Amino acid sequence: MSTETLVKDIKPGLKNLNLIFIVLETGRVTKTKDGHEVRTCKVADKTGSINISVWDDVGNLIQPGDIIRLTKGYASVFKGCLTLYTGRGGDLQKIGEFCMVYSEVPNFSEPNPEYVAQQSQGKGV
Amino acid sequence: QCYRDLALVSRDGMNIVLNKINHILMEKYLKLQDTCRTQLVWLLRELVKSGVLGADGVCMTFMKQIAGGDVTAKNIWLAENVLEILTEQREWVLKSSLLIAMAVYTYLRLIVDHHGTAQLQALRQKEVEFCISLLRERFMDCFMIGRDLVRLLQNVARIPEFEQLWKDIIHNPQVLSAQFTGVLQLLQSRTSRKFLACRLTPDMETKLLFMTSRVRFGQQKRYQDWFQRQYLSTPDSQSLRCDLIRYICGVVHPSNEVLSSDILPRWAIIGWLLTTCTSNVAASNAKLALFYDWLFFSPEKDSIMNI
Repeated sequence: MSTETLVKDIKPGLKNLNLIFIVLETGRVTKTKDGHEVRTCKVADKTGSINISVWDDVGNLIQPGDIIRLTKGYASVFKGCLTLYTGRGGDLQKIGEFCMVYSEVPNFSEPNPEYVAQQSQGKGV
Repeated sequence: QCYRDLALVSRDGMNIVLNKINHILMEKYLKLQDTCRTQLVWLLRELVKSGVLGADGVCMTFMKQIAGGDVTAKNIWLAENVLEILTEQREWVLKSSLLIAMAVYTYLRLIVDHHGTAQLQALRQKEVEFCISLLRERFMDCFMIGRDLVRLLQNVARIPEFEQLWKDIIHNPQVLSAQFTGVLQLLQSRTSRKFLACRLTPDMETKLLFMTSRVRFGQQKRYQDWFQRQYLSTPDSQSLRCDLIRYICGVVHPSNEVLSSDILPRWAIIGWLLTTCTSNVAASNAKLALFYDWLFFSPEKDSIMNI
């Protein structure tokens, strides 16, 4: 059983991430070019918060306050912001609600000039 | 059929069964489907009819799942069905003083929520008859509730049967019981935590306890919003605030360690509950709920943590 990652340790390019977080906010749905729905949610653990992008049904089911275990997630940079995703073979499981302490700061999904620079230099992973 | 087999096979007075039922009710009731809930109620009735020892405990656990301030169909269904068992099996109920007190505390409190539609009015009438009959027949068992009984009776005082009861309480207490000297005697008696807690569902308790023991002062906003969205977002739900405040005053007594830390203090939660109330009536009842123990504080009998 792999150990859980903490939000503060998430870096672009990391894969196979397992972590437990609590959902703070769910954003509006946007439609992608290929007809899917994407929602950005702000999630957190005791070390900080980060945005996760969820697709279709899952996005509609997630509620603020839900405590969720993500398996096989990965992180990458989207529009200069570090973002979490569910990878192939991974999933999101609700394991509880409400009873988890978190820290909203630092917000690891704030636009990060380093990441933007990496991307434009083609070094973005 | 299954029940009969179960009863025949059981060698521990159905103890394991009772524990399992209590466990399911406390941990999983919210997730149970309707058919399961119906089955559980049926099982309760069978347990009561066979006079299984401990069935009164299951009854009380069931009553705890009836949420205050909630008039959705499923919650009303539960209130109706449990009341039906208690009314049908009155002889059995009368054998347990604690059950009498808990049932009166529960249904006196629920009467406040049941108004507006024909179905709710009908339920209220049954609840009124149920409570009045227990109050008049077994007053001293109900007396066990202590001063919160006065608070609950005040909230229903405009209902004719209770208006009559109040007249007796004030002018003729001996009519109710030879040992009853009057309202002051009742007000001087502290209400046990088990009554204050019985009007919160397990989920409400879990969340409130989490807030008062793990959440740091300054970090509470989201938790308050989530709790409010789940339990305090309708006009009918404002009556729940009194129960929550009584719970925080009387049941949540943080250790010195927690008190000296930066964990969310009780006054902050109560402030939140009072300031976000959307009904004037509920707000004034809630304020009274806050001061109830303070008004009648007696150093020998009461705990300073209640005020």
